[in-house]
Amino acid sequence: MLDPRLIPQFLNLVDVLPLSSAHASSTSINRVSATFHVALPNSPSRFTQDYGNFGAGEDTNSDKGRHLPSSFSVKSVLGSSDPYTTFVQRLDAKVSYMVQAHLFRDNKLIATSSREIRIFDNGDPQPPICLSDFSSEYVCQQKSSLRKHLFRVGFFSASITEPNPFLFLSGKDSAVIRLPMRFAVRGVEASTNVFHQNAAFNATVIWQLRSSTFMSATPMKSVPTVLQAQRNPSINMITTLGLEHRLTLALNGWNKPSSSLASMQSTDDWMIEQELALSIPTRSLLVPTFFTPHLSRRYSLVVQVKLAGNGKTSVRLEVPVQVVYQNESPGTSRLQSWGFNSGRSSIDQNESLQIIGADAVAELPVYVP
Amino acid sequence: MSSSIILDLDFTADFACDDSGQRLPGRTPLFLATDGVHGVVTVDYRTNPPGSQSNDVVKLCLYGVQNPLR
Repeated sequence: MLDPRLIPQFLNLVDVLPLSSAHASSTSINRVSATFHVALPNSPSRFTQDYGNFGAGEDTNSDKGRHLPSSFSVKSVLGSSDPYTTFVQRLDAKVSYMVQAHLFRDNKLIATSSREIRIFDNGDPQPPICLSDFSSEYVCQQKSSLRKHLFRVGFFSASITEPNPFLFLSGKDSAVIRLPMRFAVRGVEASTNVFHQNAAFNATVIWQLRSSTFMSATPMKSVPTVLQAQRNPSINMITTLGLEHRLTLALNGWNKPSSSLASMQSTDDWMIEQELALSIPTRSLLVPTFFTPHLSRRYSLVVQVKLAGNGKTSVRLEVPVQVVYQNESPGTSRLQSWGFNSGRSSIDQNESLQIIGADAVAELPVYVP
Repeated sequence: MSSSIILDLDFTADFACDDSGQRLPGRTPLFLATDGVHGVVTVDYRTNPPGSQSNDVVKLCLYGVQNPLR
């Protein structure tokens, strides 16, 4: 393992533990233990300007809200699309932490031990992402033609909104979220109303987690959009898709849209709302969503719906989702909006907007460009 | 007098511990930033005849390495 003292570090905390409790024992092995607790400088006062030499600099108020980057490692190799060039770009991003213990006697080093550890940023989730700022990245609703024997027999649409975060709590085996989904079908000719309340479909829902890691040579003020990352030469981006998870749903018992949804859903539609439970085991140690000026990680949920029954089709949706770690019960300072607004402004939709916790509006979320 | 010293680092309770506080073997200890990093440093003095060095000190360092650094 490479000696971390030889590599530029963004964090270097030192503590000295006296072994004054040592005592002679009757055996030839005399064991002395000392407990340690290193408080991480997550508090603003321990950060230095522009995130350098963490723990070794002067206090400053300009670092308010900055956090340690979470441990992670991701690699990517990008090839050129031009067949006449052999340009290959290799991207590596890694954050690692190590604890080293040095035993000194009379200022002379006599023993050393080291262990690698993981550190994850934690705290309350950020408010939901403003989808309109990331309009080219997320698809909250998609409509597709239903086909039977090559003929179009109707339309199918599915829609989702940003779910609550995957919240990993100590002592829990997994993080589970509820993803509300709305499915709608409509016949080609509304007057014939091909579909009716008893039309039966089977839906296969395939979901994956997409991680996007952004590395920037210059400090970022907020999480960039994909478009910003592609246009800015100082920002590199690595995206990865996680494992596929499959769920099967039986869709029957269609209903006409309620009056509250009538403005968003055609009265010709037949509709079903379902809530899916998506789970990720804690042991996977999924890197949390985090933002630092030079490195950040965010996630999205990619959901593909394959419909079969009175016609076949498929749609693909993608919404943001956060990954959060906490030691205690979930925080309550999340800005929440209710309703199925598919990314439109909650205020415009005149839907209830509730701010829970006084600190929720103290700072703009880092997701706001 | 013959002697040898074994210095060991252990992290007893991290986020990935199970209900009994046991960590799965081989797994890198995980700490949440607000909790800090905690553990035990153990020094085994194997000397003949028995003895100890009460003036010894352990210097503990926590490094963070980032690539790219900036």
